[in-house]
Amino acid sequence: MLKPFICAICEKVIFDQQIGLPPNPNGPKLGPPSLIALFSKLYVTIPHGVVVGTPAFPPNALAPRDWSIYTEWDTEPGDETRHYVLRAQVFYPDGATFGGCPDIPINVEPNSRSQAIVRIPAFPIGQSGTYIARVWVEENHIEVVKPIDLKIDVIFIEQPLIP
Amino acid sequence: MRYTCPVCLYAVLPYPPQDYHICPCCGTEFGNDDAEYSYEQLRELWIAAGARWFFRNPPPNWNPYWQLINGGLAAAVPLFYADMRFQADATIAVGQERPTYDPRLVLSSVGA
Repeated sequence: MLKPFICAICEKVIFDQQIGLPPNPNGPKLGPPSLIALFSKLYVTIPHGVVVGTPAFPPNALAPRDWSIYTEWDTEPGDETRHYVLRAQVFYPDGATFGGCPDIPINVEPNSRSQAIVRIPAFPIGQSGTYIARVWVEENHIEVVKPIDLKIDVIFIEQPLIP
Repeated sequence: MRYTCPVCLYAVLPYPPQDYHICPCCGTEFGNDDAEYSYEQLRELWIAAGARWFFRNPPPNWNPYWQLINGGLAAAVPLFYADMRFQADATIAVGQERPTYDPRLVLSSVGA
């Protein structure tokens, strides 16, 4: 059974390229990852005079900016034959669901940790407060690893009046 | 067979965007509205009007801006904010053999 080693939110994940590592022993491989700009807060500057919740800044506003949920899992013998899928969901501060996170298959190789990354091309910014990015693992649509919640605080800043 | 609306990029149209079919998402009537305006103009009009769902109720968790981004048109999404920045807490490298940090701290910080 998979056990969480790392779950973290960051702007970007980049990999060293190495030869001879799983998952493809015959070609260029992904080496150790670097997590760029782990973050837990997001500051959003609202244009001066704009009222949040109005059409000028609607509750479904998004910031088209990439971010990622990086996960790494300890494995056990036998996990390589399982069909694990990483699932993710983002929740607004009021508990509403932000849809659209893709499901990511977790490829398990013997004697190594497994990585899975959810890449999300936008961040919901319609509400201030604490957003939850939740990840969990399923096999055949059955939860096999309990959800892990990662918190992100979205903080609104009113832009000062520019004379 | 599913089709994509060329205006709002709603990707599960049950019919092709032609022959006076109407997109349930943006309300474009193909063969009529797009005879007068380009797709881009219709998209701009839809977004300027609030990018609202047109017919009955939208799908669960539907977000028009997410739909545009997923369709490859992130540039069409209005920038509602003047500025945005992540507060970067750290940049770390994670080695398979020798992690440069204690992962328990990361997990404890997320409540696992």
